[in-house]
Amino acid sequence: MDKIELIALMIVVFSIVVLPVGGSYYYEFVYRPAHSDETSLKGITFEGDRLIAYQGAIGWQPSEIRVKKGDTVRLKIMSIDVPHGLAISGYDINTGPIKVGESKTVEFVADKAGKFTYYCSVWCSPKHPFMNGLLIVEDDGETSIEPAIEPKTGIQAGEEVFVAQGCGSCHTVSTISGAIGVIGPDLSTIGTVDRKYLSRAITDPGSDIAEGYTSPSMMPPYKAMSDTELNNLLDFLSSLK
Amino acid sequence: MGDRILGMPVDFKYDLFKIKLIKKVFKHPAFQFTFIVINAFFFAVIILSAFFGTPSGAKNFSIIFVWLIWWFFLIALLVPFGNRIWCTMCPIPAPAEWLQRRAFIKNKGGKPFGLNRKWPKKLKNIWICNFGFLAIAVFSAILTTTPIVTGALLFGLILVAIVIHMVFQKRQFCKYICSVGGFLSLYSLASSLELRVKDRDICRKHKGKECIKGSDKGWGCPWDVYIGTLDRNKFCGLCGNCVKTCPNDNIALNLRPLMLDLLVEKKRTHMDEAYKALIMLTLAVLYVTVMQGPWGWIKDWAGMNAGLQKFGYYAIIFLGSCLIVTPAIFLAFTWVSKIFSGIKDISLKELFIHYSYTTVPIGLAGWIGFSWPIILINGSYAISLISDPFGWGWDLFGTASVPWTPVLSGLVPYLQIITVLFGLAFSVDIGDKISKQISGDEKEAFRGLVPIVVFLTLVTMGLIWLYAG
Amino acid sequence: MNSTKNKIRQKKGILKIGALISIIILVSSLIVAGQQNPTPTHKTFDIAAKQFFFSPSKLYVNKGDTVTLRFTSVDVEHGVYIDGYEINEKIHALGEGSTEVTFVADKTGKFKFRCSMVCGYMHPFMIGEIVVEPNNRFYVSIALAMLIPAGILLSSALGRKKEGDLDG
Repeated sequence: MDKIELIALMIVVFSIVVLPVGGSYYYEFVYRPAHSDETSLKGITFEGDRLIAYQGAIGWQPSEIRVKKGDTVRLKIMSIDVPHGLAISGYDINTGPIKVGESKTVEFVADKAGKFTYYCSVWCSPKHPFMNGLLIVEDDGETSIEPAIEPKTGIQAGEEVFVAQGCGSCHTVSTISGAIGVIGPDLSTIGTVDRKYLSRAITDPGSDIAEGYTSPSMMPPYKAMSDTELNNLLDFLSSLK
Repeated sequence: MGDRILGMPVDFKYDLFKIKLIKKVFKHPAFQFTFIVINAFFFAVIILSAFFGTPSGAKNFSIIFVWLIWWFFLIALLVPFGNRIWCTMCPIPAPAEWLQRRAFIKNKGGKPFGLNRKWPKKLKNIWICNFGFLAIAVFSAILTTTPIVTGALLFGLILVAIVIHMVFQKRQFCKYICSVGGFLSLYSLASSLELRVKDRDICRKHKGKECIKGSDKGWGCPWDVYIGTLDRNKFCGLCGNCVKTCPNDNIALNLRPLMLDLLVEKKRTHMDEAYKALIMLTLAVLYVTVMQGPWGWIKDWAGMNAGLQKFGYYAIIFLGSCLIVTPAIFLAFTWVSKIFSGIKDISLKELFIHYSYTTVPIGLAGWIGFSWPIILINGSYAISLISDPFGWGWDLFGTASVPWTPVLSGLVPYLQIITVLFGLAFSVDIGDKISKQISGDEKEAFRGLVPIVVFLTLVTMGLIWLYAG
Repeated sequence: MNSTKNKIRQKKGILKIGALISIIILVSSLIVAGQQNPTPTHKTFDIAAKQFFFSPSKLYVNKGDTVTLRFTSVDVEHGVYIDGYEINEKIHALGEGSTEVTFVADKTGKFKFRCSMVCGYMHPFMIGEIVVEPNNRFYVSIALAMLIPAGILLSSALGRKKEGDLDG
């Protein structure tokens, strides 16, 4: 092949392969991670986009973040398909709505050890309440992810269940920071309600919808808890007066 | 034809090759290659972002740069004023053609790579393009908003082009298969640019015919066009090979009045073109209705949001209007025209084909009208996208957080109305001239024209109602 | 020759009459349109915003009205941008309240209002329309859509006859 054709071939390979493929791969997977100390957190609805499995990933990506107690955590949160928002229970963090394609960065010190749920704080799809992830703050010196906990009361355990199940994304409870959802009834003083009613409201919400709220129920039934977890949760809710 | 098209003398021609720079560029061996490579780079970014980028269309390079930027420039600028100049720089058939020629720039002669078959005569029409375009158009609501579908379509076209080039000689994909090529075949007839020979006598006496056979200066016409007798833009892809190979410097790149090629044929027999004109006219109306109208239920049906069954109904309505309803309505108007004029020696079918060309100007205008809000209202997405083409959170040029900014939104209805009124004016003028070509008798021609003008006017009023009513 | 000159004068006369009629049609359409001048009032519309349309999606008001549009989302966060008036407001996601947009409809015509917050894949098609009567530019355009073909046909008919006369 003569010189001109060889140069043409090199130009073609450069323009079509080297620059776009190599360039973007290098920038995204080598340069950017090396130059940034942020953890990227992407939010996609569970329904994703029907025609696409966004690389098979839905919900919060990643769905688990591990840091050590005392670390400064920097999260860059991005909405991928519809506006989402990030709230972290246990830490007083709520980004508010984040526009599609844009990101908000939150920075905080992980001064409390334990497992904290982060969830979506802006209604994004029918599966919005399930859009949760787990922030694990490891106690220093400990290799186990289970932090040493004193035996807790049913109410404390119930509060953890409340947070882990993401109830705060739709319900407000004044004593839990991050539980600021306004889609369902405010539960801050729900303790006055009959325990059996509460149990049914959790496991079969569609059977009796609170006055002023939409029918059919927007709340999905929560049946995946163990009996202990459910009892602890009911203890907690009954304590809210 | 000693008259004028809306004031412009029909025989006006200005040879752009008189401008030395333009001639130099066209004659340069690397002319086409350079533009193709630039587009190929953008194409690679488009395909990559479509397959690996964010699934959100508004934040993905592929959706914005294909369906907003490229589309507007194609339909509003390149086609009316540049003929098939997109085909000159299209990256889709490029790998196929390079493989076939086994070269990028210089023609070394030798047999092209591949089976080199001749294209079957029965398929020498744009029917495949017509149906292909419709098949794609049915899925428009999803295609133009979902990156991976866009990527699959574009990548698929590249593969099809390679297969076709490996089996058949020259550029049959572009002529007879490519859906874009299909409507370019028709709308290039309306363009104000043409490549023609200056003096046909020179060609008649010239034996070498390098324009068809090729020489060391360039390839023989890959579009199977003999420029010595070329009189319609339909299949000339402006690749410039003939300009390079002609030893007599007998080729001119002329500016000329719009709509000219619609009047060239005296005996019109191309039913595929007639149908294409009516399909494109219907689609211009359908696209405005579905995508830019306020009727939510149609959008749900079209976007498969209401389930597959409703999408099925939508597809039937969509395809039915293009293939059956509009041609039937136009046939009815043609029939009225035949009765009204009393023409005896021309069949209804011939009249149908003749008059279908009058819908080309208003069809093109309808498409441009549809495209004004696309570029003005949504074009600003492109600014943030050049900094973050994949939607991964990049900011290459600092423009990633430029918000969506509609431009001149209040002006849009006026632009749309003016465009279609111009289209109507051209359509009626072309109709007037075609009717005189059909019938030597003035009264007969005029009477035959009136029902067609009524049809054109009603369509224009419908478009105006969609834009501004 | 004389008869030819007379014929030409006749044709010119027809042309003048034709032009006069056209102007009368155009002006009267404007006058008719301008006649509708009801007293401005305050109009309020409750509009649901969902993926991917507004409901109701076509509204009619009169020039001078004070228009309040109350948007409530039934799903994700949306936005509203009104062409021509260039108003841009966020519409909160479900459970976070309604958004009210108030403006005086001082410009006539049909204005599209669109979703201004990417809300999913068919976001660019989420469009509604608000018509501020009298929709003069629509009436004028329709009139032009009739006059332009008429004018071209007329000049074609006249032109031909003129050539015919000069030949004979």
